[in-house]
Amino acid sequence: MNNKKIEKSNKKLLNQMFWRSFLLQGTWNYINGAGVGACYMLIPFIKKIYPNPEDKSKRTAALKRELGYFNITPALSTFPLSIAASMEEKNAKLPDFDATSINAVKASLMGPLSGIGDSLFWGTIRVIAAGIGIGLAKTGNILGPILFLLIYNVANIGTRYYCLNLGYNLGGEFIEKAYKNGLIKILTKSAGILGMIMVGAMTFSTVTLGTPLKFKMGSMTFKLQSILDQIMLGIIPLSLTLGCFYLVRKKVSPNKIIILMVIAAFILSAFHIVG
Amino acid sequence: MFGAALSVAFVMFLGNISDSGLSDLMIRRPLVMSTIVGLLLGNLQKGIVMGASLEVIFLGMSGIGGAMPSDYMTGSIFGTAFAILNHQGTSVALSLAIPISLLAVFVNQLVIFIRGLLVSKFNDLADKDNIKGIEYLHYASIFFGPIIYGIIGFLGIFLGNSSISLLVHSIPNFFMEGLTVLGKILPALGIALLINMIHEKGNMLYLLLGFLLASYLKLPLIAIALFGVILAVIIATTDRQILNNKNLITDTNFQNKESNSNLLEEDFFNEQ
Repeated sequence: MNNKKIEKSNKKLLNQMFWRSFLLQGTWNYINGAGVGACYMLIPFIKKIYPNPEDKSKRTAALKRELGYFNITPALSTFPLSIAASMEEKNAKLPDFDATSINAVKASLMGPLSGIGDSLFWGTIRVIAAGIGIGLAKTGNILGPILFLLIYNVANIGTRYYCLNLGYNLGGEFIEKAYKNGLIKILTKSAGILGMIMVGAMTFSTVTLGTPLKFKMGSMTFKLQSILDQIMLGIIPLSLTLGCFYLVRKKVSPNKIIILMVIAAFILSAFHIVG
Repeated sequence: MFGAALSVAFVMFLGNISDSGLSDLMIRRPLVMSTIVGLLLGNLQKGIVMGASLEVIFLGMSGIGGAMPSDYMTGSIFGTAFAILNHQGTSVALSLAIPISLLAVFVNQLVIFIRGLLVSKFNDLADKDNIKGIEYLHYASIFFGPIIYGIIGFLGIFLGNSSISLLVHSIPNFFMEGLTVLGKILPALGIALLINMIHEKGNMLYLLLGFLLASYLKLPLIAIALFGVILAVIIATTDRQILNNKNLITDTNFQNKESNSNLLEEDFFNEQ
C-alpha cells in the first residue's frame, strides 16, 4: 500500500461517502441501475472540486457523468466510487486528463467486482450466516436472527469502510495495471471457486425433494429412494438444480420456470411420486 | 385487527427500506422479518421458528432489484402473520408464504419501473446544476417503495385476514401436499440463479465438490466455507506465482505491486 497521507478534509469527504453509501440503492432502476446513488455518494467531492459558480459547466458535466449506469454488490460500492473520486480530482487539476476514463474505470470494475462480491457476500458470507442463524432459530432461539445480522453486516459494513481509503489511494492507474497483470482475474476466479463450493453445499441443504415410490418384485420390496441413494446421495436435488440452471442458461425466464414447477409439484404430489 | 395490520405494515416498510435506504443489510431476509412479525404480534417464539423454516426455502433466492423470481420478503411476512393470527403452525406459514411470494413479485417490478421514470428528471436536475434537487429527489425515491409496501401490508391484513382464515380451514389436503412439494422444489430455482451469477468457465466442478462435502461428509456450512477459503487461497497463490514468473520477464516493478496485491487478497479472503 502506498501510504499516501490523505488530507484531513478528504478524510471527511470519504467519511461522508461512507454514510451516503447506505442510500446507494434508493433509486435502483433498470435504466441506470444504482447510478443515482453513485452520483449521490460523489456529490461531496464534486462540490469540493468545483466550488465556484463559474465552474457550473464542469460541475454539471461531472454530475451527469456520475449519473451513468452503475450497479455493484453494495458491500464493494465504495471501492470504484472512491477511485472515481480521486480521478475526478485529477480531472479538475490536469488539463490533459481524459474524463471519459473515469466512467471507463467504473464500468470495467463493475463486472469483476460484482462477480467477486456476489460470490463472497451472497454466495458465501450470507449462506454461512444463515446456516448459523437457522441452526439456532429452529429451536426458537432469538440469537439466530441476531447472529445472522451481526455476522453478515460486520463483513458487509467493514468492507465498505475499508474500501474507501483503498480505492482512493490506489486510483485509476493501479486498476489499469491490475488488469494488465491479471490480478483482477485471479481474485475473480478464486472468489468464484469459493462461491461455487458454498452454493453446492447449499443445494444439498435446501432442495430436499425425495421419492416415496416402492415397487415389489416377488417377495422383495424395493424403495426407489434407497436405490437412488446408493447411486449417489442427493441425486434428485442435484439433477433438479442443474436442470433449472440449464433452463436459466437457455434464457427461459424465471417466471416460466416457476409456472413449470407449480404444475410439476401438484401433478407429482397428486400421484405420490415425490414427497 | 387494526393493530396487527399496523404492525405488519411497519415490518413491510422496514424490510423494504432496509434495501433502498440501508443498502441491503439483509434485514429483509425471512429469518429476520418473521422474527419481527412474531415479536409485534405477541408470539416471538413462533415467529423465530417460522423464520428459520422460511429461510431454508428461500435461501437461494437473492437478487437486488433485478430478476427476483419471488418476493420472499412479502411472502414471509404475510405467511408468518396469517399463521400467528389464526393460531396455525409452521406448515400453514410455509404454504401461504409460497403463493404470496410469487404473487407479490409484480409490486417490486412496478416500484422499479416508476423509479426508472425519474432518471430523465435526475438528468434535468444535473443539467440545471441543482445538487440539492438531486439529493431531495433521491430521498423521496428511497421512501416511495417502502410506503407502497407498507400500504400493501396494512390492507393485506386488515381486509384479507378473515378470508385467509376461512381459506386456511378449508384448504383441501392434496393442495397442501402440492404446496409442500413446491417448497422442496422451489429452492432449486433460486440456487440455479445464484449459479448463473457466480459460474465461470471451469468452476462447475467446485459446485459438485461443495455438494459432495455436504451430502456424503455431512459437514456444516461453516466447515465447508473454511475448506473453501483454504482452497481458494491455494489456487490464488499458485496463479500468482505463475503470473509473477511471467511478469518478472516483462515488468521489473512487480515487487512493489506485490505488496498491493497481498493487501487486496487479505481484504477479500479474511472477511470471515
